[in-house]
Amino acid sequence: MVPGNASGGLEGVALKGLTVDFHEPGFVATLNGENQQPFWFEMSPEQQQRAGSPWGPANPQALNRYAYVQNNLLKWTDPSGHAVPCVVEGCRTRDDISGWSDTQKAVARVACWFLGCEVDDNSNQLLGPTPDQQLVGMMPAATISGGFRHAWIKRDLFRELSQLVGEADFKKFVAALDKGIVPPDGRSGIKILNEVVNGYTHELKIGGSAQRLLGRIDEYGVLVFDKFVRGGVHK
Amino acid sequence: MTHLDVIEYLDTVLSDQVVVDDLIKILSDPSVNWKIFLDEDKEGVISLPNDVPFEITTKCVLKEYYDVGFGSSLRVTVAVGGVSSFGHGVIAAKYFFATMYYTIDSKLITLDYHKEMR
Repeated sequence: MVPGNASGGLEGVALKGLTVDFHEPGFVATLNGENQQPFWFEMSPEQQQRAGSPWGPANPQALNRYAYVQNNLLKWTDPSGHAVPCVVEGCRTRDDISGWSDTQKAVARVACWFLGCEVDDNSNQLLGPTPDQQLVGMMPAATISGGFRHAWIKRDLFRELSQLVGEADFKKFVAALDKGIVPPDGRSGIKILNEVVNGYTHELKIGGSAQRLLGRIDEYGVLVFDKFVRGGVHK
Repeated sequence: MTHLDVIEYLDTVLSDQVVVDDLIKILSDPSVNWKIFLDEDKEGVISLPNDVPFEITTKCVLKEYYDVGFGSSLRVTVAVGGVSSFGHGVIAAKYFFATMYYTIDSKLITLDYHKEMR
């Protein structure tokens, strides 16, 4: 809200003090008061603890505009702007969220709407994505131009993958997913196929073997890898 | 139809020149610029001279009865830099091998770069 009249003038506007408030009721009023400590310091330690929202004035990170990408804009992206709780593997396991504030849970609900997870108040757990998809990573910003928001390995393939390729290559696949789009120079990562094959438009390639996963972009803009290819000349 | 007909079919639908042209197109792409990371992790990046020779070592047509891999397709292996040695059934390439995967109607799908013969 901007002080002043509709024409932009400031006639009649008391310029003393701020005319906006934000999510901590009384915070600005307290700052404007004379001979008063900021309200935060008037609170008892117990009150401060109870008010311990991560986004309140007690947390300097509340001023960090890029906290949602862990301060790393080059590596992470978050189109919804709310994906803090679900970054990378947060959605894969049943996370204990009993320590989360209501604000955190609200943010997580928004993020989960995009990512397919669920905030369960009854069990105080962050439940995984929808049964048919498995989030294993968020994409670097560069991949947004590749036409998809996130890349996933389909859950049932994800479960089998370590048996198919072994634990070491399984980890390589997960790491390759995090790399996003790579050029056709042999690096591990997501490559755009030269030719669409049976609807598949992308492959997830790792170093050290001819094994790959094939994926396509679904109707939600998510690149889903759901097919394993053993690779090699004869297979 | 004899096996010679099959081989002739392979060379008709996917000539050696088309394969080499496809490979040069990929390698000379600005995003690649003749610098290749091999599948073998420890090899690091390999810089190729622009006039590197190519030698095709394998060309095959694969019929798949199930929906596995890229389905029925063509595959070609090229020795980049040419074949540097051959003995005991093992071929070595001067730089590396490129395995190229084609659709059954000869459109390049993707390719791998690897040091060892596959």
